[in-house]
Amino acid sequence: MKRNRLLIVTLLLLLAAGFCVEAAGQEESSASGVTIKYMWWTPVYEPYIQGAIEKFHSENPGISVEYETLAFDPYWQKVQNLFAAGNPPDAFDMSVVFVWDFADKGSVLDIEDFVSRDIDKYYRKPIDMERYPDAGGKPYAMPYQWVASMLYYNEDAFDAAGVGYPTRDWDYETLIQTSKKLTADTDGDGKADRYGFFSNAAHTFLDSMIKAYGGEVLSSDYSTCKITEPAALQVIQKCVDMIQKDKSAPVAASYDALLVSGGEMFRSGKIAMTIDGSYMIDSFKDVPFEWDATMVPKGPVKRSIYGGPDGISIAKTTAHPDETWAFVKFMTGADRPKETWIPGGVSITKSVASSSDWTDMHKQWISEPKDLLDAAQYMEGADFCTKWLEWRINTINAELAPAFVGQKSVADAARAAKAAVEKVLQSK
Amino acid sequence: MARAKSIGKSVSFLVLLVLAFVFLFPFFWMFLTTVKSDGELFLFPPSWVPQQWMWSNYLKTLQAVPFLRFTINSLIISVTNVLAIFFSCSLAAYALARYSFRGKTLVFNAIVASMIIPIHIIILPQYLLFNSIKWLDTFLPLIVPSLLGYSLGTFLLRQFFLTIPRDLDDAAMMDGAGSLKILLKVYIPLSAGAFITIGLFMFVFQWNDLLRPVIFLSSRNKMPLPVGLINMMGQYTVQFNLLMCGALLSIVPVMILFLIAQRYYIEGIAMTAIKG
Amino acid sequence: MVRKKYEAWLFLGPSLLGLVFMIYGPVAAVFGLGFTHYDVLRPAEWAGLSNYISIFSNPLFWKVLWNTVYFALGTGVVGIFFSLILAMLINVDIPLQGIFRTIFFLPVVVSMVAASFIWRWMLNSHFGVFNYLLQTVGISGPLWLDDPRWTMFGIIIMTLWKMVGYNMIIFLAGLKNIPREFYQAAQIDGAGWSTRLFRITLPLLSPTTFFVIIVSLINAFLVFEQTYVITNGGPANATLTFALHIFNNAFLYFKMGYASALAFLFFIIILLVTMIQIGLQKRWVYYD
Repeated sequence: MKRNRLLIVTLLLLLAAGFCVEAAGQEESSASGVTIKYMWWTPVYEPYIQGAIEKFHSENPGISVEYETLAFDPYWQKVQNLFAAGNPPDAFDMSVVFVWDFADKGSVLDIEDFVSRDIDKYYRKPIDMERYPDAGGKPYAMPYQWVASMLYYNEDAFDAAGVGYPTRDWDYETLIQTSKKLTADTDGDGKADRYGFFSNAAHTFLDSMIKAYGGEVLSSDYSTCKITEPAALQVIQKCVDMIQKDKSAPVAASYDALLVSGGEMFRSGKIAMTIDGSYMIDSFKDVPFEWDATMVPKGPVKRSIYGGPDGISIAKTTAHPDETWAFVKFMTGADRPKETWIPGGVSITKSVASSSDWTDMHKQWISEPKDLLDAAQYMEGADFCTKWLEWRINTINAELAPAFVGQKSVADAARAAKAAVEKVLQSK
Repeated sequence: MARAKSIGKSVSFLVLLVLAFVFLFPFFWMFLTTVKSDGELFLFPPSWVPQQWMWSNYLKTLQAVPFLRFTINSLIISVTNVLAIFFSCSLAAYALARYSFRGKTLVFNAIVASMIIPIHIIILPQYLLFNSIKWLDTFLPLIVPSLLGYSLGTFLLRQFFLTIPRDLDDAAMMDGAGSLKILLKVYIPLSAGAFITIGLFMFVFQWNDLLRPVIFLSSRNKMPLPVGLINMMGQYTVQFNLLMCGALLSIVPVMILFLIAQRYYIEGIAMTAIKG
Repeated sequence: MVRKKYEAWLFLGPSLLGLVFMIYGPVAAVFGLGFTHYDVLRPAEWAGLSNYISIFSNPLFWKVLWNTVYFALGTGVVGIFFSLILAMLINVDIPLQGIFRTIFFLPVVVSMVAASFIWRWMLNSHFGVFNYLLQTVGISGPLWLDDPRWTMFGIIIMTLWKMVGYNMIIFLAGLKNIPREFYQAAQIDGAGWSTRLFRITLPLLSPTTFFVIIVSLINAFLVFEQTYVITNGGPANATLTFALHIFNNAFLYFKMGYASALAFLFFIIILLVTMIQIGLQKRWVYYD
């Protein structure tokens, strides 16, 4: 009798412990007033966001904000799960990559009215990128910052090769030629130890290069894939040639966060140049060599730089739309404490972006912060639309990968990619 | 004849020795990586003796992610699952071994057949079900199914129970014991070995399981070790030294458990094969 | 001795609930959901056979099927072969048997995630030790996880390391069950090792082998964790296996209807393969 009593008690205790662990995991909450829930990704910035929220609390005593943060992938899984359970956060960070998906499913609030009140203070383009055309072109997220790709370069490598640093006047041809001069075999074993550039199919690089040469990835109505057309095809061929012919870029099948990425190769000094988002400034802060960044090169037709907004969306079913907007406005406006500024992010509010605080902050890492600010006029997205994750990341990267490793001709890979992408676009 | 035999033995031994080193190598390499510095990681050819023994990597790992919490979660999930199957399997096995009733064969066959239904198929509707009753992001979807049966455990226990002589039942009943008492006082003590075996199986399985937690849980503070490690990989993608620390710390408990109880575990596997 | 029948149903209660709500109910649900489009946020709508048509007309599906079959053959068939050899080697009367057994079984108990971490690092194309070791014996290693042609092979190697010990144990048990008299009789008749192997060992081991093949093939088809952790289906979908494909469609794109159709198809395929095995059993399995 004693033994099974003990067993039952233990079982119950452990079940209870399980519930307690779950309950204890909640972040701070307040007893009075309105409570809203906010979620964002990048847990590393928690202390800064916490500081911002505390400032908001002191200015808005009737509203209290519960918050939670997770790394990018589990963040989206949780947000989607919460929506599926009918219990979404009131405000949550929105990636321009997913805004159409959420708008399409009617999950988020249209914030046109909120935005139009102060529209002149903001950079227009990033806000436009949050608009969903199928619902009257209303914006569905309020950007707090935008980011854009930059051309990063390893100054020590350039010095060693005796080559002049990249400038904003570069074009892609110059990049391709210079890449060859920067590829070096430093330990004499017959294999390159440093490559000139990291060439890949990532949307932070390839799409803007295609556009710079007059090509397109998707048609303007997002129904067909256009990478088999001459301009786009030519660009992909150039990128593949850098790896296979010039041998000035290393072989890597896909720009996939799971494998050693371009960012990592730059950090370890294995590549002299890389085109990547401005947010990479944060991960390059502590590398053991001198580096700098400038504008993404121009193409023969135009200059196109990949970029986009990071914003905050409001759940459509929120019980407190006004309070939530007050919070969103605070987090996206000039009141957002500068400690929460993310390196490489440009505030949506023009006055903040051109402030000396912002410039001084970025002068720590890049010599010409203006190179980033000026990217706004050339900023284009990567055809963000519904099912973007499926067709751009999982399909295009997968179908073009064989070309990048030299196992398929670019024409064949592009054709397969077009067929697969269009299948996704048409699917339900 | 004897010569040939001992040559055969020596060859076997040598081959096994070489293979043993091959099999242990990944563990050795994992350990080596844990004490390398960030810079030393990316040396090629790789270094075989660390330039500096960065034991601090372990500390960094524990601080980088809530490792203790992950471990506690794993512990809670694993232990409650073991207790849960002790409960559900012993009851079901007892019923199947000692009672006769209409439909018994059907139930038994249903249980055996369910052993080949892969989790990947039924986890979708389970997700939708748990979502609709708001159990997502709690430990409930990870524990309740075990409270509701574990086919392999029920099967093994039932086979075991069948080998217990019925005289013991009769004797106990003459003393006035009810069926439940017989189960608790006679059958369970006599099957201690079988219980230890299925308990071990379940513990190790839950400790290592990735699929269920990754689908049913989303809050960081509820994640068990496997999911916690994946999360860590997302944040520290290429800091392999820290990742290896995480991996090593996560497998130590199970390794120790296994080395202590390997007899039960290994015999248990053999048992499933013979009975199957 | 009379036992109250209702007690049996009481005791079976939890398990019966489980069978209905956790196992067979979901199987039926997956079948039904396969005929719908459902993204969880909006109500399900009837889709007839369009999911299945979509599956069969999608080249990605056939690639996934091929990947899974390739993996199953690599780890299932080849793995069984290795397990058997290991078991036979250990079964010889040598010292340290127990230690060898433990060493080969150790990878089985560690989590697949931890093992995946280790191998992801060892197989790294530019800094991994695997390629370095190959180099020292003069082989120029491929770009394992970066090369669509070699990635699956790398994952197969990793899985063999991890799982070979498991079947080895089963084979050891099976070998121990073969009565010594057979071998003694064979020795007296002057039979050589190959006769002993093919006329005694393998036939008497066949029930065990049969069990191992069925279980290993099913488990190989189900492969998920390695492909999810190490390569996430890449590069170029080379390691996109069936289970991972279902997972992506259900929990990444929230296409529950399509994922259910895939899942049900998966179930049917596994069932078919198993039944074929069982049917063929009479041909080669020797029961005494």
